Amino acid sequence: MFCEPYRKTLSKSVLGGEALSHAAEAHLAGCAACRRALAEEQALLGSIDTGLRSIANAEGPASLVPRVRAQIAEAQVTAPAWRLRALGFAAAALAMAGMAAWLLRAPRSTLPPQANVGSHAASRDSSATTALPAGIAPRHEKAAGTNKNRVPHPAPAQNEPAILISPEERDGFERYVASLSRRRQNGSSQPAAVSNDVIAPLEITALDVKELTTEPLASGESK
Amino acid sequence: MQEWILNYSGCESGAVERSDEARGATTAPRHREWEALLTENAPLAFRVARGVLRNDADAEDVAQEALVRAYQRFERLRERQRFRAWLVRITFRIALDRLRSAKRRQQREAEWVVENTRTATSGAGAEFQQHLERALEELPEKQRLVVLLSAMQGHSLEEVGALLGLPLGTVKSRLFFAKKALAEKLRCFVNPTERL
Repeated sequence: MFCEPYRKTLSKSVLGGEALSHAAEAHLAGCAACRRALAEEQALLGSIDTGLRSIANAEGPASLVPRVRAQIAEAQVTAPAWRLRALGFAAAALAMAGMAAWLLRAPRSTLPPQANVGSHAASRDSSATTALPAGIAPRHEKAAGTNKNRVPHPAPAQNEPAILISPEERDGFERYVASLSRRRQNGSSQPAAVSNDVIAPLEITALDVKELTTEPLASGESK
Repeated sequence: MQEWILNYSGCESGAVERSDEARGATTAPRHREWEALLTENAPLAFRVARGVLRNDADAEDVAQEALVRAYQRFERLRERQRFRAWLVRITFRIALDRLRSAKRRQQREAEWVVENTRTATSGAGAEFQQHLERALEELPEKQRLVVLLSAMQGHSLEEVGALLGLPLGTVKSRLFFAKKALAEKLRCFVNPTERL
């Protein structure tokens, strides 16, 4: 170790390369311990510098530059495909988000899908409603009430009852409707016959409630 | 930048597309500039990475990643004379990230132990070098980079300051404290009998 009064100066000289002061040089000339310590420190720093140079100046591999060029060239080839794929994903995600938003905004219904609805409601506005899920009205119908310049639309399809029936049942129903209408037509041509079928009001007779009487039990019927 | 990237493979083989001469005229100088910088600075990137990672294979990977990243952002660099400093920072940052990866660290430690046992008989110099690398890794990042750059051939302290954007006094100060720390850690390995 350096003698204490010169420790800092000698350390700075070794580590920082600073020149020694005259006083320090004079001390070194007379102090063998400091000379030895200084030589050791210089040797240590020399070893450190040598080691650092060997670490810091390692030969770079010859394959580095070709590898960099190859990776850049590869990135050029793959970049367009990657971008197209990303664009496709983005478009699909956008479409799904739009669909989800549209479904959330539309009124929900418990009715079955439109494809099974055998009613005139589906055929009324087929261009607007056939592609839509059940119970969902076209947007222009919902907005019709708010836009006064818009031409009034026919009665909304969703307000009419949609009935799920089989084709056979529908045929039977149509036959029944036809027979009913024929019967009505016949009835309207014969009003007198209808007027004769007046139903008399129901007459309810009053209840005959007798007064309650108590009678003693016959002998031998006691508990 | 995009045009330049698309033309890179053609430029590399020396066959710049002449179908679009205007585009070729703008991209060819850029390519030449990049090629010159790549050839000149690839060893620097490797050395910086090697100084941090102490492993040639990892250092090559990191240098490659840093150079590719530099290429991708080359157009954004307005001051081309700062390319070296820029590359050093990118490389140093990537190397540190890799160094901090726990898994890689464990692998490296295992490799270091194996290497250490192999070279233990090769002499005190090799052992000292291993201790030096260990001690270097324990230095603060700022000091470590200054030490590495100043130890590289052809780098004066002024140039190190220019590379890192630091005043000369700061470079000297960091170097002083770094060497002091290294000396304190390595002193016992030089003359252990006298120090004990």
